[in-house]
Amino acid sequence: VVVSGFQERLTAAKEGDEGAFVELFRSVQPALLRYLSTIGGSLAEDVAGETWVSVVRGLERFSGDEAGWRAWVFTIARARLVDAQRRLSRMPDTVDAQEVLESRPDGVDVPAHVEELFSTEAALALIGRLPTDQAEAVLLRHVAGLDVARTAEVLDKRPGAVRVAAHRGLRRLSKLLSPSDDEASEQGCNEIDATIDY
Amino acid sequence: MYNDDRRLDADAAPDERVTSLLEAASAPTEPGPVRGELEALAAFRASHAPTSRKSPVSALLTSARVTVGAAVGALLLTGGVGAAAASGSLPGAAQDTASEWLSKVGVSVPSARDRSKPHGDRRDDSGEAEAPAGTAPDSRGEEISGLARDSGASGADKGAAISGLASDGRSRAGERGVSRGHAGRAHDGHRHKGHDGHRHKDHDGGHGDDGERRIDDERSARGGKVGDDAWETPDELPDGDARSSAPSITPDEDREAFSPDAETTDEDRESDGSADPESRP
Repeated sequence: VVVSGFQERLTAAKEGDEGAFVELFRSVQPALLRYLSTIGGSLAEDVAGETWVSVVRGLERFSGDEAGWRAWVFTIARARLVDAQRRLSRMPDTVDAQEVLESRPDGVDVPAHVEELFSTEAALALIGRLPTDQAEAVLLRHVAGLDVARTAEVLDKRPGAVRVAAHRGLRRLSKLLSPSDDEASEQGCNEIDATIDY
Repeated sequence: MYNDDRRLDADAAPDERVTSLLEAASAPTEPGPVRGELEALAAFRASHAPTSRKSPVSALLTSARVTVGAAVGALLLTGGVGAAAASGSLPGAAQDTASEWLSKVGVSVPSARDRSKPHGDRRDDSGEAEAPAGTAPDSRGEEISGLARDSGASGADKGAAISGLASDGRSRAGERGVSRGHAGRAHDGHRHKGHDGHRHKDHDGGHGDDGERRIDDERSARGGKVGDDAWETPDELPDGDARSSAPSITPDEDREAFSPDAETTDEDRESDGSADPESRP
């Protein structure tokens, strides 16, 4: 979601304009919840609430454009998510895509044709089946709309590692959606894993 | 949200299924409030609550209170130092500094040197210099001094005359002729009369009223012990008593004879101290 007149909205929000703040909030919150629910599971809403408390407290000090704003909010959210996971000593249930492919009957939950639409929940569920680093890269790049550099900032990784993780995630998703040629896809993923230096 | 121009960094673009999946994952939400909006808005309102917006005002008021308090404290301190300087109560160096500074703005306060000057020195100064402020010079001192030097009279009569003049008629010296038997010892004529003469000369020449008070004070200080006889038995004094030669004492002799180191007794010092014009109300 692109905020028209982002700087004006940001300035107004800093001065206490609730309308401006709501507009900024709505520009980020849907993608934020999708990211948090996919990675953090049931922690998503609590972590989102903590994130916005921190955002409000630090709003006076923030300066930047809209991409920087989104990256800043996601950086805070990820940090809060890690804190919550450590606090609860519970890591999110990351499901290996290979196990899913092996246990899932062919064709189930996957649209048979391109014209069929995924529901948002079904799409996020499939992304959630990726390894965490791949899922995060895919979510931040293609759901939150961050570019490689911003994604690297949020994940505290090098841009090259972000590119590889995103590519591997998409390849795995493609394989999930094309079980017929899963052997070739799996082979390709393994080759990438063996050659990429993280 | 997914756009084709946001190409993947790998060698192959996602297939159509993956593209459809990403579009579904990034689908826009329905217009209106989204989950968590009320909580976030509450946090926003809390951070911009009126109390927090009043904080600058509160800080300003606090700053103003501190400023006023500091000003009042400075005034009290300055006033206290000024009062202490005016009364000469500051330590020596501080008193000198306060005297110097205040003299620049037209306020006269005593310096440490003035305050610590011995009484005798001050007395000499007062005799030679102008009378202190508030003491109106008159001719009484000179008159008494002249009477003391007058060789036409002698003995108890002269003493009584001097005492009467100095006390403005309140002295009872010479009125009673009853001896108490110690006149010879107590009535040191030379000392008694000459002492008075000395004071008349040195003190009263500068400020006669002061001389009168000094005599009275000295009498009260000394008479309480031996002065009754000295003042009240003039008739029994032998002729040719040293008092008769008092007027012949030269000023130098007088000063030497009655210098504090020579003959001034403790009683004299007490008397002098009580007669200090600066210590009187």
